[in-house]
Amino acid sequence: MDSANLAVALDLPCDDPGTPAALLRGTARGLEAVVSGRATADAMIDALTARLEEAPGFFRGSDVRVAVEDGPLAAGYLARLDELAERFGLRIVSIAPRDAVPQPNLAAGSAPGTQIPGPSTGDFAEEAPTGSALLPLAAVPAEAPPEPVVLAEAELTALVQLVEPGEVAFDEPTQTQIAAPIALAATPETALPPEAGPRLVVGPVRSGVILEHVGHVIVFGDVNPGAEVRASGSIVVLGRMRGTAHAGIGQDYGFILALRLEPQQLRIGRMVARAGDGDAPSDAEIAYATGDQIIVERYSGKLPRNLATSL
Amino acid sequence: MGRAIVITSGKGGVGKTTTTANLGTALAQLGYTVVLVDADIGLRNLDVVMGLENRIVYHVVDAIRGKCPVQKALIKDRRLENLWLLPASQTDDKDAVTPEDMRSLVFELKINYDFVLIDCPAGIEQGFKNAIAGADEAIVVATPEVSSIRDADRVVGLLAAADVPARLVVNRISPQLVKRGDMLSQSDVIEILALEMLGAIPLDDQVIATTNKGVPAVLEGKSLAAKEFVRIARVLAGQEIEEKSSVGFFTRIGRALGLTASPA
Repeated sequence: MDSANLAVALDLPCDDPGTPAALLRGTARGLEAVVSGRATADAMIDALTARLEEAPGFFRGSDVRVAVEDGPLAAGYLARLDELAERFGLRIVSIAPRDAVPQPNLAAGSAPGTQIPGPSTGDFAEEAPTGSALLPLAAVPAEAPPEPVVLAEAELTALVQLVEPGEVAFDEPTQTQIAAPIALAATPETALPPEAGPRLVVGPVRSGVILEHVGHVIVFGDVNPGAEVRASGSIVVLGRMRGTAHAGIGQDYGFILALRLEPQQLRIGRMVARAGDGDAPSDAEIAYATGDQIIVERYSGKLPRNLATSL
Repeated sequence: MGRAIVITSGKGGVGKTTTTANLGTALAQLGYTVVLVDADIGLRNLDVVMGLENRIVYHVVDAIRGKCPVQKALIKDRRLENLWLLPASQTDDKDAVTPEDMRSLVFELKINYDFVLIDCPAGIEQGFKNAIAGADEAIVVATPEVSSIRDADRVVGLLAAADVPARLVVNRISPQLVKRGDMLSQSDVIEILALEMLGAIPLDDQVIATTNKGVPAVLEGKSLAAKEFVRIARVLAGQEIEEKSSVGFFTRIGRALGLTASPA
C-alpha cells in the first residue's frame, strides 16, 4: 500500500498529469483494470496489452473487473476489451463505473486541470506538456534505473500507471514510457521491498479456492486437496499442504514450506514436481528449486543459504 | 420465527434426501412443526422417500409462480400431525426459480413453522444456489470416501462465501470397515473438512429397506441409524449438546478442529 501512495504522491506535483488510458492493478478483490472513458480505445488496449505482455502466464485465467473512469465508454470499446481478455485468457467478471468505489488516490491522479471535452485527444498540443510519468522520473536520481520489469517488481498491489503514449511525449520511444511509471512505483523506499507484505490467510483453504498473491503467502491451517496457492514469493503452510502450491511465479526461486507436505503438485517458477506415492514423513518439509529440479527435504529450522538471501 | 436448514453435499447419492426425510421426521416427533422443501426441481424424490408422492397436487414452482398459495402446495404427512412436505416440480428445471424466489418462499415458511429443511440437489450450480439462498444454516452430508469429501470441502467453501454456517453429518460409516482400516473414520473426515460434526450415521440395511417403502427409518424406530438421526435432531433443536457416546467424543474433536471458517 505504501508503494501505491508513493506513486500518487509523485504524481501530485505535476500540473496536469493527464488521464492514463488504462491501469491494471491488484485489489483485495482481485485484478482490476481501470480504463478511462476519455482515452481512445486504441490507447487503452495498447496500455493494457503492454502491461499484460510483461507476464502473460501470470495473469492467464484471472478474473478481472473493469472500472470505467470519466464517463461512458465509446462504441466499440467493449468489443476491444473482450478481444484483449480472450487473447490473454482473462475473464471479465464485471464492468462498472469507477465512481461507484471512491478511491481517493485515483481521484488525486486525475487532476482537475484536464479539460478535454469528449474522448478526443487530438488537440493535446494545446495542453501543457504533460509527461506525468516523465517529470518525477527525471527528479529521481540514478539509483532507480528503469530496468526491464520483472513481475515481482511490477507489484500487483501497487498502482502502476500506464500512460497513453501519444499523450505523454512526442520524442520518446514508447518503451521507456511504459517502463517509467513502473520504475516510479519502485522508487526510493519501495525499491527495498519490491513486493507487498506477505499475505496471511487463516485456513482451511478449501477445494476450488485459488489463493493468489504477489509476495509471500502464509497459511495458518490446512490447504485442502483441490485448492491452489499461487505466489510470486514463497509459501509457508502452518498445517497440511495437500493441494497444489506454486511458488516463485515469474522469478523461478522461492520455497514451499509446510508442517506436513503432502501436496498434489508442487511448482516453483517454471518447474513442476508431482507428489510421490509414499507416505509423507510427519516432519515439516521444505521444497525449493536448485538448478533445474525441485528438492524436498526435512526442514530442520534453517533455510538453505541461497534461499535465506532471496527473502 | 423458525430456522431454515439446507441439507447439501456437492456429490450426489450420499444421502441428502434420506437425511432430510429422517431429520425432519425426528424433529416433528420431538414436537416441532416442520416443513421439508424439495429443492431438487426436475428430479424430485423427497416425496417418494416420504411416501407422499401420490398426494401431490401443487408443487414448489406453482407456489413461487403464484399459481396457488404456499399453504395449498404443502402436503401434510399422513403419520405425523406437524410435518409437511413442499414437493419439487418434476417438469421444470433448476432455472424455473431464482435465489430471490427461494429466499422469499423460505422466509414465508419460517414465519409459520419451527424448522424448514431444504433438500438441496447435487452439484454447485443453479439448483445449489437456489437451495442455499434462504437458508440460515447448512448441514453438509459426506460419506467417508475421498470423492465425497473433496466435493463437501468445495461446498463448505461456497457456503462460507455465502455466509451460511455449516455443520457436518458423516453418513454410511461402517464401524467394521473402519476398524479394519478399510474405511476413513469420522475423525479422518473431520480432519480434512474442519467442521463441527453433528453426528455419524452408521451404514444400516434398514435405512435402505424403509426408504424404499416410503417410510423414514426414524418412524420404524429401532435401527442404529434411526437412533442417530433422532440424536442429531435433538442436537439441532438444542435439546442435547454433548454426548457421551463415541460420536460425542468425535463431536468434541470436531469442535476443537473446526472452529475456523473457510477463507476467501
